[in-house]
Amino acid sequence: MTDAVGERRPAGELEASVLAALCAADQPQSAADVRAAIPQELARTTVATLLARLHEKGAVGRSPGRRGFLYFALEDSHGLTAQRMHRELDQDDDRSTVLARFVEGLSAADEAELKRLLEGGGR
Amino acid sequence: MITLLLIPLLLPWALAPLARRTTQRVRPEIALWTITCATTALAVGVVASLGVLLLPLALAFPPAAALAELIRPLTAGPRPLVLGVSALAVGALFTAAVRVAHGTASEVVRLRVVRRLVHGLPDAGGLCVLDDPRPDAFALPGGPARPDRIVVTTGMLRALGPVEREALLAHERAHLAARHHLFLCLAQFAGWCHPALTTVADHVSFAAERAADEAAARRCGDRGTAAQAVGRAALAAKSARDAAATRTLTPGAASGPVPARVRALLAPAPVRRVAPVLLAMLLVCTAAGASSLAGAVRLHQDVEVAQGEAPAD
Repeated sequence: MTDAVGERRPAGELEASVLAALCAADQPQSAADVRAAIPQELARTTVATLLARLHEKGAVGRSPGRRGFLYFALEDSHGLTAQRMHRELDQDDDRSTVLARFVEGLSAADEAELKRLLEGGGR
Repeated sequence: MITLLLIPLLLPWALAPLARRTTQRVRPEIALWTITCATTALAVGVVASLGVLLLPLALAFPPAAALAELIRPLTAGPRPLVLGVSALAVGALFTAAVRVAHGTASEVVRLRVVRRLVHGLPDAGGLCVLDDPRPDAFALPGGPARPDRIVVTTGMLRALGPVEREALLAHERAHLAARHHLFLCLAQFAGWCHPALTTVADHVSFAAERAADEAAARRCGDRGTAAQAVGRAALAAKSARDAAATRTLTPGAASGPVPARVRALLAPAPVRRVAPVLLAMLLVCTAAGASSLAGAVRLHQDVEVAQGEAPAD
């Protein structure tokens, strides 16, 4: 991402990026860690503010660290939501058309073709 | 009369190859609009023709004939043929109605469950993260009372790099901003009305994905990154599914839409707005409309003859 337009974008989009980065990490993150994990170029204080706002909303958890808070993604301890969502969405005979999934199932041939494409075009 | 009304029932088979070519040659947003409009128009033509074809059979029953003030039997062609076709139309219309009712019901139930699950999750800027190792992501359109949501699993977020995650979010935002679900709905309805339009629904879905991919590529400023995001997400989802190995999701030979999307992103951005294939689609739709209208007019004349209002020739 070459466009340094972090501040021009709606605050909601930055929050989403911060949440996505935090959830992609598998251990608690400081504001500085999150700042390094998002492509937008933001000040560390901005990231800290965004994280605090996410914490207020109940979207992330936090614990005091050595320097500032460490934030972590909330876990769905029983995985119930995930289970039910999976059951609703992954019915082979009766798939939803209205919910646009990012990627649908791949066949073995597709998999080989994709690997070839990504290696050939990998930059 | 019968032939004219049968043409709109045959034309949908011409649309599927045209739709495929359109998605390959024209800018995806334009492809999405034109294919959706064409498939909807043809579905309306199919239903209208089937509806008109019901008439001869209905008017063969004395009470209905009396209600329509027929003084002599309706003659719209060789009687066994007309009545046979009419009976088939009843069957086709009934099948379509059952498919629409069943499909709509299951879709509505599923959307309701998914909405309830998603709206129980905290969100940030419209993003809900589902704690699930299986990579998945989708756009959930809101309603009058509920806002749009992007749902992504932690498995998907972990499979992607920082810029690729942005591409994914941009892709889902594009779906929601352009209301792609409405196009998918229309295409699905059309697909329930006629078997040939079922495959067209897949092309509409592909055009919607391509349009969102292009939006994501514009947002990242790099088509290669968007291609990587789509490809890696698909590979991660595949390997998670293989690891679970509960069932085989797709048959081995058929090629799905994902490699085609990646290939299109690795190629230069599509710029064409008009192509001969669009004109061909317009022609097909016009032909369907004209022939169902002409067939209906002819049948109306036959009914007037049977009512004794117009002289039989």
